[in-house]
Amino acid sequence: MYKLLWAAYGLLDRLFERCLPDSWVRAWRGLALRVAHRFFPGRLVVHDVEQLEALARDNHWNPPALPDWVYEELGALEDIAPELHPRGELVSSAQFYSAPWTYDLPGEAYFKLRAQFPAQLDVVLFVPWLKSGGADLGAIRFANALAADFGLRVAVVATEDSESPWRERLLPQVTFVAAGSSLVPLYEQHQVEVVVRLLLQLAPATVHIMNSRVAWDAVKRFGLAIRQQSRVYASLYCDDISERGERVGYARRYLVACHHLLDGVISDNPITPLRWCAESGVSPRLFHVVRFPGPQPVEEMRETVAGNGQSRVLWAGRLDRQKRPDLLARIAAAMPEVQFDVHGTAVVDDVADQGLSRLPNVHLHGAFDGFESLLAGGHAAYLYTSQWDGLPNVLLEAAAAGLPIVASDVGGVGDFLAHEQRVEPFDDVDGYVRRLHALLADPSLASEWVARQRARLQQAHSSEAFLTAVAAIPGYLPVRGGAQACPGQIASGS
Amino acid sequence: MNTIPDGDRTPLVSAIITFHREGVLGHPTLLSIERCRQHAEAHGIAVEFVITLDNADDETRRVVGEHPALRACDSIHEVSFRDLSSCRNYAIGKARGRYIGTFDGDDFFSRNWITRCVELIREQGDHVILHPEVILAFGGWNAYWWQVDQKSEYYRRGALLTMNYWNACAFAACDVFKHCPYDVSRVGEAGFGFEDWHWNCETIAAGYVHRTAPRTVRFERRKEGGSLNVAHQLAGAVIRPTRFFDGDGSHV
Repeated sequence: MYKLLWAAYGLLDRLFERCLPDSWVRAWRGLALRVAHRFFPGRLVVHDVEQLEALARDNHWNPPALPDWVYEELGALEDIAPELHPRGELVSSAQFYSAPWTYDLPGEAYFKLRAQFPAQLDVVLFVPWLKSGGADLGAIRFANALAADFGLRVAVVATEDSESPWRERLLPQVTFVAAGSSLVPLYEQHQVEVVVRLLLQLAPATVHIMNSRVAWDAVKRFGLAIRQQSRVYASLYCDDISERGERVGYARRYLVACHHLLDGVISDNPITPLRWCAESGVSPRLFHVVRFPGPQPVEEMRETVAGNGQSRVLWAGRLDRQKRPDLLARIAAAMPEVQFDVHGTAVVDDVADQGLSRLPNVHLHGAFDGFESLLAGGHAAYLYTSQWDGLPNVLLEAAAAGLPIVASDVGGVGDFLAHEQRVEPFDDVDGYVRRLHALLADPSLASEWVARQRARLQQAHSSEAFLTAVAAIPGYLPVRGGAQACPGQIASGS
Repeated sequence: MNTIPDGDRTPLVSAIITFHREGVLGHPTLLSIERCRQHAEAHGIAVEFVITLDNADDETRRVVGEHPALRACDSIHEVSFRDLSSCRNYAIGKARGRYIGTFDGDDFFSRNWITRCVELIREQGDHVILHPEVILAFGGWNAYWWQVDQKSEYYRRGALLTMNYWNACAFAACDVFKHCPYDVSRVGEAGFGFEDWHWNCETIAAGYVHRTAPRTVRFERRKEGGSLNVAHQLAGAVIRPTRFFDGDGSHV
């Protein structure tokens, strides 16, 4: 590719030189140089337009030869090092080595990022970005709790080149560094070297990876060095499933390769880690469960029947492969007497609504802003059909809102819902229909489920439970002022 | 342990030469450095060899211990560090010269190497650290290149994140080495490596300037099985934290 582009550049350059004014030609060469710097930094032997023009003037550029005085030295060495005879095989075969001496893009990216951190940090969290999503919410909760409740100096580093609108949800004392735009021009290997250097120089007591690929790669390649100063933790929630049906994701990609370089793996449920351990042989002792706090329950029971007397079921989420709107369509088709309110939009690469729009009992409401905005409809149940997940926050929100839940038994759902509320396998349409029918037919069953969900929410998903679980992760909270923060030391404002 | 008693004449330059298991390759190396010494002496510069044998094998010990270039002023130290940085620091602690040059036990140098370095430091000041202008690698890899002078247009501070401009051979005032000793690399134990790279960064951060000595050359033997640097790369080593990479880089 490089040779092809270099040849194309040569052709265009000669053409432009004949047709265009000098200033345009120079601008063109500057552009070509920037492109080359971006995509082939290791191949560049010139670093400004003047040098490029010198190269263009002499298309038959030859590397510099060894100077005569070096040959004289070689000759004088003949008695000591006969293998280095000036006209011998070794010296004759020696080629000029052109290293990219002036390639400083990774280093300058490093210095630019380093300047955005305070001098002292206790915890650095690596995320891909901070935008709408359960993992993003989890990262924000960790960062804010560490800063506000444990009084630690915290930085969140977003490593992908993407907007992070949820950075506004971080507390002001949390440092947020959008590193993606600085990292994206670099080779992946250099991205890793920038991140490793940041960690080695910042020397935080704790490093916490939350779905950042480059941070995982940094630990994979240089974990031993990083651990000389920092303890390293990673959050893992669930596998993803590719379109070919393959289990993929950070756990699949990194857990086996990196488990010996981690001080702990944090998950939002105890079920998924057991599966990884059973499959990979990684020790269950590496894993620690930190359940995310959910909204706490409202007291009043909601209306379960709409104004026209028709029962209504709520479904909310992305219309994508993971959330399985096709299952929703089949369930709705099997329950024509029930109205299904569907909130959410399709993602770019998925089929839009899986036939939902053709069903008269399905109302597609489009995008929504917060779960609480969906609660005016007096729904009888919340339906969840995802094929894979950790413990989705939306279930906590539905439980807090007093909605009885029927959900696929995937990931960590079993840690929150009782067996009778879960459908297994996830694509058992009859299983969903049976449970919804039972729920709609028996208000006492709905009350029982709602009460149990509330109890679980209060017991396992309160802020206090979250902070206690964070403090219980061995070695996670740095020692400051001679004493490690512990649950008893959580600030009163928590 | 000194195996050869010190001579009376105080040397101006201490050539720190580290041996490990070079065997007979150490023989021509010492001959080459002896040529440098004779060239320096012809210009009024007295030179001592301070040699370390770090867990050396019998062959290396014999080659070095019986070498005809050794003089009364030279010293040989049997040590057991299994670490290049520790060897150099130890030898520097034993050195008597105002200037120090570091040499590997299997390379060759242009005759003028020591002489030129002393002349240049006298001209430019003790803040200068010198490297050969040209490197000719031979053996496992045959190649040559010009080293980067920190005062030249090719020097970029950011480039030191991903590459090391200068390899093992350095020459400077003894105080430079005492102010900035080499840090120990324990690749297998701690993941840190490339002690020369780290030292280069540390010295720049301390205000020293790395320059090349014109018309000097190092003939650097590249082992067929790979060098220490290659071993560090394969082991996933990275240079230790260094003041060079603190802050926003405005200090370097």
